[in-house]
Amino acid sequence: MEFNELISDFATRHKVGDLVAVDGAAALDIDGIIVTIVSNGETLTFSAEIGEPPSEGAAMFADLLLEANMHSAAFFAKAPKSETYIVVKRLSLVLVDDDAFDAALEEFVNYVETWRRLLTDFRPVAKAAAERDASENPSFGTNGFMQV
Amino acid sequence: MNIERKLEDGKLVIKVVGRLDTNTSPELEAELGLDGVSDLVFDFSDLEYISSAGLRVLMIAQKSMTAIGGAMAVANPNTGVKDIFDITGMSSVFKII
Repeated sequence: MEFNELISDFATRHKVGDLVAVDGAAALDIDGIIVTIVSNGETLTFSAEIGEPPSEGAAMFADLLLEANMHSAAFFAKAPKSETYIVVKRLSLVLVDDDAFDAALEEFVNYVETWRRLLTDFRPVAKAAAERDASENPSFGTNGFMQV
Repeated sequence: MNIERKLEDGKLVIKVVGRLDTNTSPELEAELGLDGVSDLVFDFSDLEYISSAGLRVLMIAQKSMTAIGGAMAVANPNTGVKDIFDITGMSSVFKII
């Protein structure tokens, strides 16, 4: 299907008011998640934000994202200096009709919501673990005094 | 975020400094008064980050400019912002100069 047709059909079926569409691209606000959708004529690209890396345990969380990249049709990315994880999914426009578009978008939004929730849940756990590590393994400064 | 507007002979340059994200995008959207504008340029030389909310505002601007037969471009995005345009596919949607 043509991209513009897909988007206008979607907006009509779901009575989406807050839809911005230009030729070849659209942005939808779905329950506070802004999903951008871009077509290059052959491929649809969905993207949305997950959130900022956690202040504690960022490397561990990044490992989780990398592992998830291996098992999902969507993948995570973080642009240099961006401080924000985004998730991207690409699918062939040739294979997409209205029903497939709805299903793919719903699956994508659910995936974004899941990872936003995981990130939210991860923050306090990682912070508590870091505080516990600090109390169990006190570090010493260059002056020989314990750092607290 | 800081926004500077400069309109000259129908060319509007909007310079955005800082982060264009969910919190700051409404401010930019409110600045999109395009009366008398035939060319719109977003100067992103000092933009640190753009989120999907920021991309949405750019699409609103693009749509408005297309409707009035004008042109829009994004100028001087840094590597990080350019990477976001690339990975989201927006590089093919916006004219980047």
